Amino acid sequence: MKAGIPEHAFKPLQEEHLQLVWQWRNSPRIMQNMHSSALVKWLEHCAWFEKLKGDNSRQFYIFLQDQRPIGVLNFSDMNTATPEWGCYLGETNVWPGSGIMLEFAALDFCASHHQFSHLLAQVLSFNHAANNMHKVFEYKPLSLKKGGKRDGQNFDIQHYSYELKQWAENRGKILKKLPKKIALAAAHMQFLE
Amino acid sequence: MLNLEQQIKDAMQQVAELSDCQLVESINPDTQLLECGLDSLGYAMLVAQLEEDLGYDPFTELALDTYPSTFAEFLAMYQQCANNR
Repeated sequence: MKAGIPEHAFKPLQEEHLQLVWQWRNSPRIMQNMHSSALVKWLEHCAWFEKLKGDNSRQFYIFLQDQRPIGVLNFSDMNTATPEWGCYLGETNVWPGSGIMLEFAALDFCASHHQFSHLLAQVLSFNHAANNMHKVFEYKPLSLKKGGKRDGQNFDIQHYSYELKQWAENRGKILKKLPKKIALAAAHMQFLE
Repeated sequence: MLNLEQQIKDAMQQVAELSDCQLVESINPDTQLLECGLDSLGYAMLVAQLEEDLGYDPFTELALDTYPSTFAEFLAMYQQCANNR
């Protein structure tokens, strides 16, 4: 039973959550906002995980809400000054504001690593929720590139950048624009080893 | 006086306009909250708006086994909280 503000933590992906992530990744709600909307086979997923384990340029976290896995947060190009991030909520019965927690986590995590100058992101043009959130957090829109076709409709890929030294100044300002409980939750997020 | 369901739907519309979101055409009991047109910020704003309108926040006050996924579950949670008061 839970009441009040949930605790949020991020744990590196391990075998215990591999099947859950595969199910999330292949769910229509998640697939529709991915670069590739093709179903991922279990063996392909396992091969991806094996490759991930030996790849220092990528980090893949499970998003835990009161210790329950509800989504993912992932980073690529961690061996450069400009990593890129992505995320999704795999579960639908989540605390209101869970997506905002992912935005905070990505920026807090990268801003705490001083080798990074900017955080990059890509969002498909029809994903209004994600594009809206990046606008609220004041990401700088970069180029709009052709993405392809989805359900017979052309779509673009919006590229974003966030200058991480700006995040320290912006964080408090953005928190003030958000419901107070978001600030309380954002103060207690942690990355686990 | 508006019933609770209508109050929630009105608040959803109000928040959608404030947060530049477009609600789906029809909110029915099976509508997934994450697919109703509100983004994560909109959903958080909805709960804050309802706390202002109704004077309570079930997410804070109730000991929940799980969070609501659909509009019907969301409404039931608010009804339960109202009944407890």
